[in-house]
Amino acid sequence: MRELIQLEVKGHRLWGTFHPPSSSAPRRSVGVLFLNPGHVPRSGHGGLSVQAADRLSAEGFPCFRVDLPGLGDSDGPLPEMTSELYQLVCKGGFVDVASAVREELQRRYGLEGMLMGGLCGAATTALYLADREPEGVHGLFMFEPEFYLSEQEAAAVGGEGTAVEAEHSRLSLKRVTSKLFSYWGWMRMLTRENEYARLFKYVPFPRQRLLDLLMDWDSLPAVANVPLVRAWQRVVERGMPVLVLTAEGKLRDVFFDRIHRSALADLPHPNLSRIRLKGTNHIFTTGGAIEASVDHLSQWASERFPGANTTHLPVPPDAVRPGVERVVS
Amino acid sequence: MPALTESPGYLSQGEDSLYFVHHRALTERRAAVLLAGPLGLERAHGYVVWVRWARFLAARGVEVLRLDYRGSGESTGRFDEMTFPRWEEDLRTGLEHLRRASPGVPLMVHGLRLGALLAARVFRTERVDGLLMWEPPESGRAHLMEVLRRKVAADNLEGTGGEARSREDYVTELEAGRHVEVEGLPWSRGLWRSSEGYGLAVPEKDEARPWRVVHLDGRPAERHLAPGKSRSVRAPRPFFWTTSNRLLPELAELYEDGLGFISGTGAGQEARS
Repeated sequence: MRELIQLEVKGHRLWGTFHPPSSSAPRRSVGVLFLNPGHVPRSGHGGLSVQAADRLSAEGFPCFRVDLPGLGDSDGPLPEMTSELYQLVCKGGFVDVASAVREELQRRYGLEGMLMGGLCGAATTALYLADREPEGVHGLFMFEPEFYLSEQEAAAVGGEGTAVEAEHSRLSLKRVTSKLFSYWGWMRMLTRENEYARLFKYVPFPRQRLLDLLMDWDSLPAVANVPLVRAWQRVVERGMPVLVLTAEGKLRDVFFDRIHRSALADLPHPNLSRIRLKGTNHIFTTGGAIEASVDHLSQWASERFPGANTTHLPVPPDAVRPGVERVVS
Repeated sequence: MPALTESPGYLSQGEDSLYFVHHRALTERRAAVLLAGPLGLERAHGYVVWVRWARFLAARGVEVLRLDYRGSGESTGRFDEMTFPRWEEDLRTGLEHLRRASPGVPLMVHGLRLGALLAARVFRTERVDGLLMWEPPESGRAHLMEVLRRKVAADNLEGTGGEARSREDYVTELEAGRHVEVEGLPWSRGLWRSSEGYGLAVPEKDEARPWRVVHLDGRPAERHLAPGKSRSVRAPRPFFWTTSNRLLPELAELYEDGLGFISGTGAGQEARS
C-alpha cells in the first residue's frame, strides 16, 4: 500500500509518498526518509527509492519519499544548469527544508526519529542534516556520496584544477589541452567515467599508480567540500549508524576512500558500514546494484534499528491528507 | 500558500494503481491534454521539463493529466510483467479520467518518445480530437534497440555490467526468457516481443483530426517523418530526456508550437519546417 502525502513547509507545498509499515512486521520507532537523487524525481533512478521503501515498509519501517522544492512533482524554483543545482546541494541549500520535512513527518506519524539518505545529492543533504540535528536523525544511508565541490567551484577556490584552468585560457587548442591538463579529466578517465577510458582497452596503463599520484592519500584534497567533511567527522565521531554504498573503482568511491583515510585517521568508527558494489555505475542502474543496495539497506536498518515485538500503533488520523486515495500495491 | 492547482492521485488499473497528476487550467479552459511521457532513464532525466511543460499549458487554459505507466515511477505493478499494449491501456484509463474531468473542451493526446508511440495508437482507436508527438521513435523495437545501444555503450565505456556483451547477446537473452537489466529495469521477453510489429501508428492521409509530429533535432523538411504534418524545432543538445547539463533548457519555440496546436489556434495550420 502507498499513500500520497502533502507537506506545507517553509513556504513550499511538497508532494511525497508514504509507504505504511506492514502490520505483521516488528514495530519500529524510526521512519525512513528518502530525498531526491540529484534532479531526479522521488522514485529514483530505476525506481531504486521505490523498491527500497517497499522493502523497508514490509519490514516494519514507515517510509517516506518526498520531492524537495522544484524537483519531481513539488513546485519551486530551479537553477538553469545542472551544475548550479549541484553547487546548491553542496552548500546545503536543501537542508532547511529537509529539516522541516523530517520534523513534520515525525510529528504526524509519531516517530522518535528518522533514518535519512539516498543517492548522490540526497546523501549530501542528509549528512548535513544528521550533523545539525542528531536528536532527530538517528541513522544515515549514503549511496555514492560526493565529498568534493563542483568542478567550477573547485577552480574558483583555488583547487587543484585552478592553475591548469588559467593556463587553458591562453592556449588556442583549448579543447585538447583542457582534457590533457584537467585534473577532473584525468580523474574521470582513471575511474573510467569519460570517453577516453576506452584507451585502457588498447594501451597498457598503470591506472592505480597514476591514481595514487594524483591522490595524496593522507591529506584532504583541495577540491574537498570541507564543511561536508567536517560534518562527516562529527557524525562518525558521535557514533551515529551510517551505511555507505559506493560503486567500486568509480570517482566517488575513490574520493570517499581518500576522505575516509584523511578525515577519519584517528577516529574510531565502529558504526560505519561501508560496502563497495562491483560492476556498477554512479546511479546504480547496471550490474544488479539496485537489488544489492536494497538488500544492504534493509539488512543494515533491521540490524541497527531492531523493532519491538508488538504490532503497530494505529496511524494518527491527521497522518493522511484528507481525500487521499489509498492503493494496494 | 496558493490554491491547490495540481493534485496527484491514483487510478485503479486492475490490481494495480496508476499514479497521475492533474494540472488544472488556471485561466478559462480551452482544451484538455493527456501527456504520455517517456520511460526509464528518459523519464527520470526529462521529468523537470515534462512537469514544467504541464504547468506552462495549465497556466494558459489547458487541463493537463500526466501519469506514470504501470511498473514505473509512482505507479504500482511489476515492470517485468509490462508490455507496450499494457501501457497503452494505462493511457486509455488516464484518457477516460481526463474526459470525465474536463467535459466540453477538445481532448488531445501528446506523447514524448515512447509516449508518442503509445499515444499514436490511442489516437487511432479513441475519441480524441488531436495528436501531438515529440520525437517519436520509428517503432517499439527501434526504441528498445536504441536504449540497448546506450546500455552497451555505457557498460563498455565504464567497465560495468559484467562481461562485455553486444546488443545481439541481450536480445538472445530476452528471447530465451531471461530478464536483462537495462537502465535499472528488468526487461522481459514479454516486453521485447510486444515491441515486434509495434510501429509508429502514423495517422492515415485522410485523417480529419489534427495531428503533428515535431522533430527536435532541427532536421530539414525533406527528412520529416510525415511531410506536411511535421515541424522541426532545434532543441538544445543533449536533449532534455538524456543526461543534459541543462535542467531548464530554452524551449520557448517548442512550447509555443505545442500550445498553439493543443489549444486549437495552430491545429488547422499546415506544419512548417
